[in-house]
Amino acid sequence: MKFIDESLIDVLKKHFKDKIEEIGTFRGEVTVVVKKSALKEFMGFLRHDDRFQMDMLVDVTAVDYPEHNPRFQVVYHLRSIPMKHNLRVKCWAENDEVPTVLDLWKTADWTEREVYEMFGVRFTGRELRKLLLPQNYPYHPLRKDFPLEGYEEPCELWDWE
Amino acid sequence: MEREKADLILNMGPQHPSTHGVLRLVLELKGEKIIGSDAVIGYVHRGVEKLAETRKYMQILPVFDRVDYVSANTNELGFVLAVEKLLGIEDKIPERAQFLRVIMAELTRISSHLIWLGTHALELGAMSVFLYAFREREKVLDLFEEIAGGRLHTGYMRIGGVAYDTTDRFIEELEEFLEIFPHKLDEYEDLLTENRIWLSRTKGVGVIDKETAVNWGITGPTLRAAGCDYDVRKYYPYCVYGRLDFNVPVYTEGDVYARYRVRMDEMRESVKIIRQCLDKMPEGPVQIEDTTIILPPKEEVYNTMVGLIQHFELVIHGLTPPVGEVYAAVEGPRGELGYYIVSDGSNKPYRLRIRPPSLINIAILPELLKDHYVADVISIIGSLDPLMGEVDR
Repeated sequence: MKFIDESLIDVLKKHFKDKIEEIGTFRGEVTVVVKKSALKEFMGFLRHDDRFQMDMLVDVTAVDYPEHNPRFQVVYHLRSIPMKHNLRVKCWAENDEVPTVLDLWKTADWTEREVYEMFGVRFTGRELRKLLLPQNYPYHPLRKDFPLEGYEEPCELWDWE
Repeated sequence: MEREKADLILNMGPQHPSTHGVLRLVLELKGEKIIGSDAVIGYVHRGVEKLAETRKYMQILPVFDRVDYVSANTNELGFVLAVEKLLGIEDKIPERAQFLRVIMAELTRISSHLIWLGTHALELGAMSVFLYAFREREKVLDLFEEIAGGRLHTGYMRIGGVAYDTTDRFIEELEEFLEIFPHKLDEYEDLLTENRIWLSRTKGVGVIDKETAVNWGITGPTLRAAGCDYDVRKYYPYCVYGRLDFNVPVYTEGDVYARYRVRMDEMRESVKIIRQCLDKMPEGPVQIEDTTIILPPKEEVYNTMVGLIQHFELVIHGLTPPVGEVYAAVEGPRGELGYYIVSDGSNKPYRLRIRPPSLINIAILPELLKDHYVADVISIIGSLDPLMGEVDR
């Protein structure tokens, strides 16, 4: 899988400077960690700039680090169909909140809803409902402190409305 | 007096036979027209991602067989490629294993598309196609049984190779299948491609244009029917796809009919790919020689001390990839199937995310169904080919 090359990484460094917390490469995959305050601007830049043209949001997910503060890291996989390159963008969710990217890519519609129900990370600026679980389910199953076998639930919870 | 709101709220599913499993739609109707809808999913949510975090890398494979339960091989392949990338052993996989992986992946694509063809035609009233398609699918499943032992959940891929080498009977039966299958495809196309009822049910229905499709993250046949040639096999070739000669069928209409044509053409291309693999496949081992990655052969385990020790070492401790994160994708029958693994250096993944093509492909449904008639819902869902096991995971 092709990721963005050195020259484009330099463009990002020059353009965003201290708004980028970290740029790392592992097994040829480039990961950028951006500050939450700059996330919206950063994503908009990647989407519309001619050198990047990231027109496809492949996936949105999150990782739970219970020891870390802020606890959740939201992970975006971006791709450009015309340029054929990829980029992974990460952002720490301070106060368990990040701004939504739904206005840039529609893929975020259901994937952000899934992250919200599984981790409890809220995406601001959009309407959020649970996607897979019952609407009044009180837990977030993909958090590390949720036991694999789950908790026993009263039947009324499963109303499926 | 005109009402602003819908005349009727119609609940469709989850046990509706033509929603491909347990997909439930709540349709707001104005007469026969849909003015709004909502999709309710999650009926077969099994928490696969959570389960994967508690298992060693080798133990996860059989779980992923059951995520997309009609295309087990591509599921396994995606995961195996991701773990190999994490371990950094992509280049060390024997060539014969790479070819066998491609053969199995393409056979899976054929069997999955045959299910889609049969059920999609059945839903739109063409009963006979269903019977024909399942007749050929049976042959593919027999092939799986011959080489892997399992029919649906084959468990054929291994981290570091594949489980078994081919048998003479497998090659013989595969040759025979490749010989007859293109004629069978002609048979299906005779029944459907120019069938007037089929055309009127599918042409111009559920149109998704290229820009919308890319914006919604749609991949696979649905995207290629909309005029974008994105195919993981061509854009980011894995295994030996880079050395094989095949076309990626692209149509520009973006309607249900175009998706049908793309999938039919894809099956022909799959036959071409398998044929080339059989011709080019070299002799040699099918598993990596490093016994810290793959279990040693059973003769060694039973007869030698070293083999026994290596076996237990690997079973008890498992694989321990370095700290890091990777994303690997394969072109599954439904689109880009991606695996994102975060490793903390232990023998279990810290986080494992499956990028399910079905889920992301059907997210467009509420918007797509607007202004269509109720009867078209069936043909649109069928053409997106969602598999609920994969949508809910």
